[in-house]
Amino acid sequence: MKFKVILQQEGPRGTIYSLIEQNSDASEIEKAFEEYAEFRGEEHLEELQLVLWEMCKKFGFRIQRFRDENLTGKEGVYALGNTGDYRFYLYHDATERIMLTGGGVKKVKRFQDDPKLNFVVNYLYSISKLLWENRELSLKGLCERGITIEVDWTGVITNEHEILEGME
Amino acid sequence: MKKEKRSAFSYEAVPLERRRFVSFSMMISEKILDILDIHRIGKRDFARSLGKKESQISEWLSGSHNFTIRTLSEISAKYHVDFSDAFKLGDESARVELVNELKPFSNTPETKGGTTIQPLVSMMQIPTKYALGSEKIEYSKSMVSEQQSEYDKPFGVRRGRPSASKKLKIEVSPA
Repeated sequence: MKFKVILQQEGPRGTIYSLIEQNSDASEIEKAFEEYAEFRGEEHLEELQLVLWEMCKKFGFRIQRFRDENLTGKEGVYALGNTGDYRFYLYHDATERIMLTGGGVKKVKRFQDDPKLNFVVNYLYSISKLLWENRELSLKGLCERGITIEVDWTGVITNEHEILEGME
Repeated sequence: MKKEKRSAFSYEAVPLERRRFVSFSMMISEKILDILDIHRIGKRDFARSLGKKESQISEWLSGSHNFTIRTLSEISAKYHVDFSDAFKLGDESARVELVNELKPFSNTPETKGGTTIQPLVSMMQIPTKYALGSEKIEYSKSMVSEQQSEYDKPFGVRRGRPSASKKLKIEVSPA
């Protein structure tokens, strides 16, 4: 699967990035908002969007606000809280920056037991690892340069060299 | 059939009470986050100190939790936190909205379904001198301050009683 990093929402205290799949007209978070509205109703979606808006505008993304969900070994990957059984996963880059994507309805106890949730967590972790190991990379840079991130079915990045070359 | 794309989120389109709810909840949770930072404790220890589960604290910090007065009292008592400023309307635009929401008093009776509803003000039969009007407001204010000055004096220092003209007269008619 091929993704590009896009700027989803921006405010004085924080920026939310998301991913958009090649040839898709909606970002991963926009698709997730649709699913979430169907799953929990429009009011819950509106409330969630208000929370994200407030974070961008006034509060930033303090790490304790997010659930770690026992994502041991998946440093930097968290889930939004208070979303019922629906999971929104994020990579927490800094108090001013997150990359937010959807996950889906969690019907199993461990996210590893759901292929879709496991895939999302793994590709977010791959991006987190990529940024951590290559400090010259940033979400902003990836977004502004329109770099394509390619991941295999397990969520591992397969074009790391191209990404690094594209950023030079 | 292709599904229509959801339109972008518009803050202004959300009803004011829901915006306020999230804003208040965010402010309260921000104060709780400050407690964690000041005391250098994690969510687990904070939960334990209040006899709660860690998952409950995660919910509080999500930004859309409906806190009860009991919960706020427990946190406030344990960590000496003043939550009152979480309810301040700091946003100027929000205050303008509030002012616009306050409808002026009406003394005109309303008719609903053939029934005439007297406004509360006229039902109370407030004397004309207290009725709203630029000059009369001044007069009523001076009356209030005059009465307060008499009652504000501490016990033992107060001299005399309020003047006879201001005393309420209760007449009981024989059965």
